Parts: sequence; structure tokens; C-alpha cells
Amino acid sequence: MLEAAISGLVQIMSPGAFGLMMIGIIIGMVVGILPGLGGPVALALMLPFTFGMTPIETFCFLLSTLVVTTTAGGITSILFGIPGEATAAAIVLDGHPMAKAGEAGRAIGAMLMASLMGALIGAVLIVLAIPIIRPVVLAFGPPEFLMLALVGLTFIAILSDGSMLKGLIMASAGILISLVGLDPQTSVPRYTFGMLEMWDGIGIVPIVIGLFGGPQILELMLSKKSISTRKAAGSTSGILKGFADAFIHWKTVVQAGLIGAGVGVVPGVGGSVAQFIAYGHAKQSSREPEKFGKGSIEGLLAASGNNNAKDGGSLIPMISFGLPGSVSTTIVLTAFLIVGIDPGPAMLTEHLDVTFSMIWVTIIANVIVLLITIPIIAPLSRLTMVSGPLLAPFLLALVVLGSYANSNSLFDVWVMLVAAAVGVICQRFRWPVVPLLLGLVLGDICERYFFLSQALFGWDWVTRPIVMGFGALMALIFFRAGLQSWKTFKNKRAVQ
Amino acid sequence: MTSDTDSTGGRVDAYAEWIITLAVLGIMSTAFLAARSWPPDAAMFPMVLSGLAIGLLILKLVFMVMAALVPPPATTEETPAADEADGGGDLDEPPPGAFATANGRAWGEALLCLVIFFTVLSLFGIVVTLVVFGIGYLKIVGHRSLIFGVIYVGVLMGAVHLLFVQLLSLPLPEGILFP
Repeated sequence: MLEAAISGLVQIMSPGAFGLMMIGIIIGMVVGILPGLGGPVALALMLPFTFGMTPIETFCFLLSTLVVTTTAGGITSILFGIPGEATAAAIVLDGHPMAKAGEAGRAIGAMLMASLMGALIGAVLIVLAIPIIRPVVLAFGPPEFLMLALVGLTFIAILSDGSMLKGLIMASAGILISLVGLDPQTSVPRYTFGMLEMWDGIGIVPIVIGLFGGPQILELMLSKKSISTRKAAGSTSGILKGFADAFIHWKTVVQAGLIGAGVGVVPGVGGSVAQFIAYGHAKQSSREPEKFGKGSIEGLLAASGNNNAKDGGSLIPMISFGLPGSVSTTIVLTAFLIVGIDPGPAMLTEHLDVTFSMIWVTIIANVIVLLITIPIIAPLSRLTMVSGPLLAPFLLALVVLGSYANSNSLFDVWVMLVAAAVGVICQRFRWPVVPLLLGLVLGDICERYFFLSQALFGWDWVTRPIVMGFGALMALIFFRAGLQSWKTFKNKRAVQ
Repeated sequence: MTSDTDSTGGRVDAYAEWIITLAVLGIMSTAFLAARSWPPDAAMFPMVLSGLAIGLLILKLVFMVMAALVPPPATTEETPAADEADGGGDLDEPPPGAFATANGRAWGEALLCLVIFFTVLSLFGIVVTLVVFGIGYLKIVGHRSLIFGVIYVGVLMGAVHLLFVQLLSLPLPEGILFP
């Protein structure tokens, strides 16, 4: 194994492979920073260029693009409150308030370091998991996937900004939106209002951009002030403090990384869910949960630490079984076939060096991103001090182009606009938007796996051991959240 | 029941709370009724979901009615009781910023700008929109010179063309009248 690890490292450090990795990193940074253009878009665009490359060169090129996209998405989230990636939405919650408070440099530094640590956790997990992952993944059937999605939904209780009832209502609305389109069982159009564009459902990207970005832009247009007025926005000491934060709160980062990698292993669930589970868990286990959503460094680290770990996790079923866990890994799987490699047991024997090269790429690409970004954190952070009227046309262009890129249709721009209006109303009148997003992501998964579970096992699926374990976990999460709400309520009464 | 919107704009507006709750109740009820006309397999999940949501919304309305009937204890900072009974309403919440403090003129100006932006976008596409809106917005709202606006838009258009068209080969939004 050590030989294969060294061989993988040597091969990716060859001039050709390393050069392609650098190109992938630059493309990944551009795509990641631009809202709406996610890893899948970048990979799909880059896939044709892999014809004629060796396997190692292919994965250097594609994987570096993928992991960097995930990391760079957090930069836009922090600076402008507009998620660069759907998987970077949770970073907005605490990263942008930090930028508003003049701590953009610290926030970007912490995000980058947490992402790197997350990538390391994901990589270590791949190495440890590959020999034993087969029985674990095979133990998961539709009922277990359903329960995992439901566990994700229970985090609504923690992510509802103190109002669980509102959170549940918003989550229901999110799930309802996820049902728009053709029903997967009967192909009946549901809630499409006779519009053909809605038959494919409503894309998550324009909704994420609208919900988070819309209110930020309108706020800038209303106030006509800069995002931050404090001069320390991107100071070197702030950046170093951000790096240090990731080490000081290493437990939060490691836990987020493990959650990201764990959820990443499960096919179909993805990073949009992992980020909120990691964030919710960090909030629940924090000594200062009241700071979450207002610029908590723990919240930012949890949201950042899971991203790259999730990418590592999603590589595990793909390498072991040829089972892609996300759209991005589906494209990487296509690249496997293009270069003539069959994923499966051979990846642990015949092509072990290729497997290790993938692991090395996820680590080295993140180290390079960190090094490249350090000199530009300060100028990037200064963007938060540009006046509102100067930023508004630029940000409007970003959100329109990002939404449009989802399916090259103006329909997505209108979806983004409606989501922006909802985001503004929610922010103004304090209705939580995160449960809506979580419901939107998980609604489709819940319905699909519920029907599969029913079709395969009837109601017997509820007695499966892993299902019952997840059920107990859900009960525990709700119990703790309820207890916390009750304590808060009692404290307020006592104060009054 | 009184509207508790005040100068800080930091607290939940009681009227808005009623309007939002009733609006979502209307949406969920419509969703429930719409699902009744579908085949059972397609209708089950939406009906269960919208039914649950209707239950939650009725519970919220009950809390709100109770809060309206029972006056909250006298405090210096008034907190809506319905939100409080739900475990919400953080006394330490910062004010929600420009949304609460902006006056009618600022709202009108910002919304008018957005209406113009998206109308021009749908008619003429992103290229014309960025040129017209960018220069106009910077001149009228940003109080910048025409030359500054032209340079700003030129740089923005150059970056958009380089990244989206040249590097990523992605199409730009086109308008109905001017593709």
C-alpha cells in the first residue's frame, strides 16, 4: 500500500500532471467564486478535454477543479452573502456577518484552513474505509437512506432560529417546492400550472442564490453603504487569526469533516445536506449556540470543514462500486470510463496507485489553493468596503448569470427573483430560510426512498435495526432541541 | 393586536406575521386540494405533507390568537407573545438593518431600479441591460461621472465575456426583442 501511495504521489508531481492540476485549480477557483456555476458545470465543461490524457492526468485535472470549486465557493458566500456554490450556503450564515463586522480576512482564512483540514479528513477516511466499506454501504437500502434524509430534516429543529414551529412550516414549504414537476412514480405533472419549464422541477441553484443573495443586494441598494465599514477587513493579522481559529476549534472542524465524509459516502444525499447537518450539530454542541447566525467562528468552521471532506467521502462508493454519490462524481465516473478504468475491486489492487493519486490530489489542490489565496485575501476583503451603488450592478450581474447557468433559461432567473422576494420577506420578518432550503433538498429524496421502502418491504422497513437506530437519533435531537427551547423560554420569563 | 413595528424596526411586525401565516395557509390548502385530483401514488405524499403543514399553521394561528387575547407582561422591550410561546423571539437580536430602517422613498427607488433591470433584461438580454442599467444606476444613484460608468461597465462586460463566453463557453441570457 505504501508503494502505491508513493507511486501515486510521484505520478501527480510529474510536470504534465502537475501542470494540469494547476489549470484545474485556476478553473475551479473561477467557477467556484462565480455564484451558480458549481462543480458539476465545471466538470462537464472540462470532460471533453480529458480525451487522450492518462488516468493520473485526468484525475489531476478533474478532481483539482472539483475540490477547488467547493472551497472557492465559500469566498463569495463570505464577502457578498451570495453562495458561490449550493454547498456553500451554510457558510453565508456566519461568514457574511463576520465580513459585515470587518472580519472578512479572518473569515476567509478560517474557511480555507477548515476546508483543507476537511480535505485531509476525507482523504484519511478513504484510505481507512476502502477495505471495509463494502459491507457498510451494502447494509444501506432505501429505508436507511430515507431515515438519513429524515435525520437531516430533524436538524430543522436546531436551525430554526429559536422558532421551531416556523422552521417546520418553512421546511414543509421547501418540501412542497421539491415536489414540483413530474411525479417519478406516475409521471403526473404536479404543481406545474401548465408550464413546461416546471416539469423538470425547480432548480436548487437559483433558489439558493435568490434566498441568500437577493436580500444582500437589496440591502446594499437600500442603505447605499458598503458591506463593512471597518478598516481591518483583510488585515494579515486577521487572516492569521482565521488560520489559528481552525486549530483552536479543531474539534468542531474534525466533527464537521467526519459528518461531511459520512454523508458524502451515502449516494444521492450530497453536500447541500451535509453542510446543514454539520452546522446544526456544531450549534447543538456549542457552548455559545446563541452566537450562531450572527458571526460565530464555530458556525463558519463547521460549515467549511465538511465541504471537502464530503468530496472525499463521495469518492468512496464510486471507487469501490462504481456508484456515484453526486452529480460531480457521476462525471468523474464518466472520466474513469473514458480513460479505460473500471471502478470496483480493481481500484484496490491493479489501480491502487490511481486511487492514491486521487487522494493526493484532494489534499495537494487544497494546499495550493490556500497558498494562492493568501496574497489575494486582503484585496478581496477590501471589496466589502466598496460602496453599495458600486457593488449593486456587479452583484446583480452575478446572480442573474449564476441563475441562468443552471439550465440556460430565463425561467431560472425568474425563480431566483421569486426566491429573492421570499428571502427578503423572511429576513425582514424573521422567518428562518434554512429549513426551507433543507426541505427543498431533502423532499425529493424522502419521497423517492419512502416509496421504494414501501414497495420493497411494506411497513416492515421500520423494524430494520439501522432504521431504528436513526429513529432513536432523531428522537434525541428533538428532545435536546426541545429542552433547549424550554430553558430559553423559562429564562426569558424569569427575566421579564 | 397592535403592530409593533417601531423606529428600530428590529421586532417582528405583528400584522406581517398574520399575513404571512394566512398566505402560507392559503398555499398549503390549495396544494392539498390540487393533490386530490391526482392518482393515489402521486397524491399521497403531497397530501400528507400539505395536511401536516395545515395542522402546523393552524397551531401557529392558535398561538397568535392566544397572544392577541392575553396581554403580554409589561417589559421595556415588547416581544410578540406568539413567537415567544413558540420558543422564539430573541431579546438580544440585532435590528434587521436596512429593511427595517429604510424609508418609503429608498424602498421605492430600489424597487424601481430592480423593476427596470429585470424588464430590460427580459426584453433586451444581459448585454444591453448591463450597459444601460450599469451606466444609468451609477450616474443617478451612485452619483458617478459618465466616464466612470462607461469604464465600470466596460470592465464588467469584459470580465463576463472572458469568463462565461471565452473560458466556459456558456451562453448569456438573451432578451425577447434583442437576442
